[in-house]
Order: sequence, then C-alpha cells, then structure tokens
Amino acid sequence: MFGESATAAKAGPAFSEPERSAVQRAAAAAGFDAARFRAELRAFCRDQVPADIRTRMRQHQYFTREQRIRWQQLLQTRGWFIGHWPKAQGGAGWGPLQRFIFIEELERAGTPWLTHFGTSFLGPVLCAFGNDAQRARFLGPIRDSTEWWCQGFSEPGSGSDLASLKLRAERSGSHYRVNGQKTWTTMAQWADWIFCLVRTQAGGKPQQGISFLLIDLKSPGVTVRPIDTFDGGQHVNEVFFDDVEVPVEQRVGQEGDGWTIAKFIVGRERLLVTEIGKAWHLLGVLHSIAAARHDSPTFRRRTAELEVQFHSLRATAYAAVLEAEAGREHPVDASLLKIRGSELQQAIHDAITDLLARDGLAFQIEGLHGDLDGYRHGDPRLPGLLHEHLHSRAASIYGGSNEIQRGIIAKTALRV
Amino acid sequence: MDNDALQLFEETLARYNRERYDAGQWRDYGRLPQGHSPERWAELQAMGCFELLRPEHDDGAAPLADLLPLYAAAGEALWREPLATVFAEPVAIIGQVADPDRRRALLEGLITGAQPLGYAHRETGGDGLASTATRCAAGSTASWRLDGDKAMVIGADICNGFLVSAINAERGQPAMFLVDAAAPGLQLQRYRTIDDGVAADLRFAQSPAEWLCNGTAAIAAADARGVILAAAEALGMMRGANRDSAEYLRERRQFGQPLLGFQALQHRLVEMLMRQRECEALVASVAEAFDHAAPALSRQVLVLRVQVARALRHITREAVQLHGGMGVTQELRIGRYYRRALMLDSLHGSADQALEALSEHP
Ligand SMILES: Cc1cc2nc3c(=O)[nH]c(=O)nc-3n(C[C@H](O)[C@H](O)[C@H](O)COP(=O)(O)OP(=O)(O)OC[C@H]3O[C@@H](n4cnc5c(N)ncnc54)[C@H](O)[C@@H]3O)c2cc1C
Repeated sequence: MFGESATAAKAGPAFSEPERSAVQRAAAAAGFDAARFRAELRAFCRDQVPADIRTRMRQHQYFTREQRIRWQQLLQTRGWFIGHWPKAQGGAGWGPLQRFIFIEELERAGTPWLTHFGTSFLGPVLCAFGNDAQRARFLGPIRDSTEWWCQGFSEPGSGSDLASLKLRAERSGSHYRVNGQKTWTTMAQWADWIFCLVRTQAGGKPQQGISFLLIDLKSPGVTVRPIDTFDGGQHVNEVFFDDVEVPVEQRVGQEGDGWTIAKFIVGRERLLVTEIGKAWHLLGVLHSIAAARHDSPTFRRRTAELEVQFHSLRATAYAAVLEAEAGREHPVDASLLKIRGSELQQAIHDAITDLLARDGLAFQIEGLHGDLDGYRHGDPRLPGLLHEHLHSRAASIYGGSNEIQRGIIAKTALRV
Repeated sequence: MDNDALQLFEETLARYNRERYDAGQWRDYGRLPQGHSPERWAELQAMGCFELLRPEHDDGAAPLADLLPLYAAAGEALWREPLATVFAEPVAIIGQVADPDRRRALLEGLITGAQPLGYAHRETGGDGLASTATRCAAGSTASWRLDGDKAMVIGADICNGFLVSAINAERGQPAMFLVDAAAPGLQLQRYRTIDDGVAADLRFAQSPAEWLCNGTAAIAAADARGVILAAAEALGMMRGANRDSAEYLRERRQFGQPLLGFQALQHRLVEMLMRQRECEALVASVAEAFDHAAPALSRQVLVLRVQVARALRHITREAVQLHGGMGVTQELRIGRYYRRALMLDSLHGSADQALEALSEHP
C-alpha cells in the first residue's frame, strides 16, 4: 500500500484500499465520484509532473520558486488549484471532502507543497469578508499564482499568545501608518504581498483591537530579513515595518475584525494540517530504504507501529472530514489531527533517519538544490531527507503548537 | 583523579567554555578550513588534557573515568575539535598491540600530539557498525596491503595515520592495521556532517599497512570506549539543553506570565531532568566497570548506549519544542544539540540497534 510495492508487502499486511462506502456516499451527495476523482489525481501526478520537478521529488530536493509556481499553474489548468473556492469566484465549489482527497493525493505523490497562504487562506477570506473591489483586485493573481502571499501573524513577543500582538497601524486620512515587526514569516523572501494582523486600537480586550491588512512588500519602509534555520534552509523571515503607508482600502472587513478573520483561517484549514498524504508518502520512503538494507525484528516492529498510527490517524481524519462535509464539527478533531499528524510525521522521519544513520549522516547542503558537483557520501536523498527531518520538528510548533492544541482540547472537550 | 583535582579540572573546563566557546566562537571555528580551531586544539594540549592518557604504571592504562569531565565539557559547548583521534578508539586499539615498545610508541604519539589517529572501521551498506569488507593481503609477514572503503572517519584532516579494520581473505578474521595518512593508494574525500562537523571517506587501493593486532577484541574494546566517552559527551549536552530550556521558559512570557509558570511545561522539564540524572549515574558506573575490566562489561555498555541514546534524543527534541520557533534557528545552541544527538546515534548506534544487540547477546 505504500507505493514502492515490493517492499510494502514485506513490511506488513498490504492494505487494499477501496474507497470507503461512507466516503463514496458523502462524495455522491456532494456531486462527485470519490474513487474516480482519486484515480484522476493519481494519473495526473504520475503523468503530468514536469521532468525537472519529478527529479527533485525523487531526490527530496528543495523546489525553486519558479517550479512551485509552474506546478500550481499546471494544477489550475484543471481548475484544481482553487477548486475549493465558491463557483461565483471561479472555483469549483468543492466541499471539505473533495478538497481533502485532493490534498491527500498530491502529498502522497510527493509533489511540491502548495503555498497555502494565497489560495487556502487569503482567497477564502476575501470571498467571505472582502468587498468586490478587493476580490476583483486580488483573487485573479492568486488563482494564476502571479502574486505570492505570506502570512504575518506571529511577532517576537506574540507567538502562542497571538492576541497580544503589537504591530501598530495608525489611521491618518486615507492611509494607515504601520510600525513594528512580524517574524517567522514563511517564504516572505519569495512573496509579493503579506496579509497581517495589526493593532488598530490599544486598550480593551486584546482580541478586539486587531484588524486585517493587506500590505505590498515592495512598499517603502518594509524590510525582509531571512532567519537561518537548523534544517539548513532560509525559509522563514523577519519582516520589519518602518512607517509603511497602507491605503485604507487594503483593510479586509471592519476595524476590529482581525481576530474573527484569523479564527476563520484556522477553521477553514484545520483538517489539512493532518498532512496524512505526506505521512503516506514518507512511509513509502521508509519502506524503500528499509528494503535496501539489513532489516531486523526491532525495525519491523517499529514500522508496524507506524502503520498502526497511520491508519488510526487516517481513519480519524476521514471521520472529521465527513463531519465537516455534513456541516458539523467534533470538539476534539481539529486539534487532535494537528497533534497526531505532526507526531506521526516526526516519528516516520526518526525511523528514516535511524536507517540512514547506519551509513553515516553526511549533510551536504548543496545537494538540497541540485546535484552535487563533487563527491557525494551515501544516498542521493540524504540532504533532502535530513532537511525534511529537521524541518518536521517545527510541525509541532507552527500553526498553534501541540501544547496550545492540547489546551484547546481541554477547553472545548473538558470545558475547563 | 582525587576529588579536589577533579573539581579543579571541572572549573578549568567551565572557564575554558566561557572564554573560548561561546556561540559566536563556535560559528567562527566552523568556518575555518579544518572545520575546527587548530588553536583550541593546541590549547587543550597545553592545558595538559592529553596527559590524562598517560598510564600510572608502564603497563597499565590511564583511567577512562578521568576523561568524563573533559567529554562533558566538550558536549556542553559542542566542541568541534576531533577529540576522538586522541582520546577514544585509538587508545583502546593501541592497548591491544602485543609488542610493548610499539604500544608505548603509539600511545606516546597520541599524548604528545605528534600522531593523532583516525578510527577507520565503519563501512556503508551493511548494518553500519559491525561489518568489515575491506580486504587485506600479506605480501610478506611484514608488509601488508589493503583494498576497500571506509566511511565517515572523524578528524581525518589532522591524522597522521588511520587504524583500519580489514579481513584476511584466507583466515576470514578481522585484524587492525595502521596505514600512514600519506600512504600510496589512499584517497580521502571530505564532507560536512549533520552536526556541522567534517568527516571523510577513505579508499584504499593496495595501500601498504602495518599489522597491529587481531581485530575482534580490539574493535569491541574500541567501540566500548567510544560509547562511554560519547555518553559523557551526551551528558554535557543534556546539562546544556536542560539548563537553557529552564532559563528560556523562566524568561519568556506569554499570556501575561512566564512560561515556566505553566505546570504542563514544568512537568516536561522535570522529565528531562530525571533522564539526565539517571544517565549521570549510569555513565559513572559503566566507566568504573570499564576501568576495572568488570565481567559482563559488554552488556553494561549496551545498556548505557540504550539509555543515553534515548535520553539524549528525548531531551534534545523536547528542548527544541519548548523553545518554540527559537528552537529551530541556528542562533541558539538548542538546534545544534539536536543535530549532534543524531550524529552520536550515527557514530555509536541508535537505541534500537543497541537494544537489539542486547536482546541477542548471550
Ligand atoms: C518553521 C516555522 C514557520 C512558521 N511560519 C509562520 C508564518 O508563516 N506566519 C506566522 O505568522 N507565523 C509563523 N510561524 C510562527 C509560529 O506560529 C509560532 O512559532 C508559534 O505560534 C509558537 O510561538 P513561539 O515560537 O513564540 O513560541 P512560544 O509561544 O514562546 O512557546 C514556547 C513553548 O511554550 C509552549 N507554550 C506556550 N504557551 C503555553 C501554554 N499556555 N501552556 C503550555 N505550553 C505553552 C509552546 O507550545 C512552546 O513549546 C512559524 C514558525 C515556524 C517554526
């Protein structure tokens, strides 16, 4: 079941995976055929990925900005990139189930991560809270991947306690003057625009004084400074705002709506953070490496454990998706999926690394971005897989840490 | 070392770390062509650290226990200098050399710094730590030739020679050889490792070699010594990671209070501290067993490896998590501890591997 077939059988019971009948029924009710849709996505990922991107996928290398854009545009030739937007805005009006299957299959095939900031976050926000002028200005370039967005929520002093954020936006005439700093901004180095939570009003309940602003990163007074991370990358950034003028028309919703919009973003994408397709893909990688090597009872037991976790999580994810499709929400699901999804990803990476470690953990970072010029130690995937391992440590930190998620479950399920 | 001497030594090392090994210095040393600081290396020797290897009696061995503080200091500040080439596996292998004059000469080469040695045992493709496919053949009893590949030799740049395990085609038993770093037919390929260190792969083609001793016992002794010293290093890393994490949570405020005020986080730190404490006790006891050549030493070493590997991976993982975004930056040493923990598993075997060996061990 894990793709790289011969090895999968060896590692445990091969799962056949007919589409579950509950999934098929829900899909039919939503007007699509789940099995056919999945098959179509698999064929697309098998046949349509450009050769240069496929090479990087195989080597677990880092994709360039241009490759990511090209891939997103290719998906949009089928209308899939914004399939989850309302039909009125050019989307296909997918519900949570179809969107989930779409993302699951892309991840499972190991295709480039979709930069969700525009398509998954801002797009739906503009559809729900924006005005016509904003939709007309911003949705097209997101659909076409011609404008790249990033998310400016966190600040140095406001991580888990997001509501305490301080980036100041003071109204002066038809503009806001923005002063302060965001941090950990993913891919700001590649972005054209940033959507920000800003403080438009001091005092009162902290959540109330927050507004949602769209800011052109080319505006005078904006500085983006990369942060070196321990995975050998530079993909998060500090973004500084020094008296940046932002037209009032670039505020989404009313002043004070920022917190509501932020919660809307979290709610919309809460199921996708499971990254179940990615776990699936990584299990395939694990099995392919294990098959090429001495395998042992201890290791077989460990992969069996991962298989148990994987299937439990996938079942839970689909249960949650079916609830969402029916317009309901279980109080535990969203946070559970975030916690278990990140834990599983990390556990698979631990197992992969333990295997690779037997041949020595070289970390030739240049190999992340293309073939090495000179000598290469070990598996060609080594730089990419180690980079991904280290990066996976952040999966339990970003987007609301696992500690914060457990706090949320305590609040909602235990009502403490 | 008696208690007073030990305390003095620990204070000296702590000062050394404060003055010579802050985060900025760590970064600078890594940018040097060797990947470490030759100046620091010379200073360690000048401080008399290498003398810790000098046996009290001509035929004895210096106690391994005396090296634990040195390795703990190295772990805490993440020294880049290749300590292993002097203090770890080579000492154990030299100890197996039968000819006393040769043995003394090789040890003297380590202590004076004249001849640090690289441990070239591991190979790729097998289960990493145990197998040897490198071949040796005797031209005559005095002159041997080696053919094959060795992987991830630490400190290769500064070594004058390599201790190489190889199999004799006729006898099938591994033996240990000394190969001069400038030997004909020896090729060296350098690369960076996960802990931002430098290692090299070696290729031998009809390289002349000196036979030193039988391999099996030497390799076992070398690996045991390596595991114990790595455990001491891991202890230093645990102390550093635990101290940094507690301090960070004490300083960092969210929700209007220091994060250390949240009981959920206190318990996480407590678990980390408990694991550190258990490892401290175990390292000391296994080092003592090593020095007294205790029976069942090999099992004790495996137990140590399992416990320390698990604890270190747990602690470094938690330390990253508790630091939030800061934990995954290059700015703090927390991420470096995490990466070095992966490297120690790669060098000395993961907890899984050791547990497996333990369960199969007689
Ligand atoms: C790789 C990466 C990418 C990111 N991308 C973005 C981005 O694109 N845009 C953006 O806005 N942000 C981004 N972030 C920021 C991310 O959302 C924050 O790192 C996260 O919210 C945690 O905040 P912090 O780092 O300040 O940690 P802190 O809030 O300081 O937390 C430190 C530790 O304390 C724990 N903790 C905090 N409060 C509690 C509590 N009440 N109870 C128990 N434990 C608690 C945390 O879980 C954590 O373990 C990214 C972060 C990373 C690492």
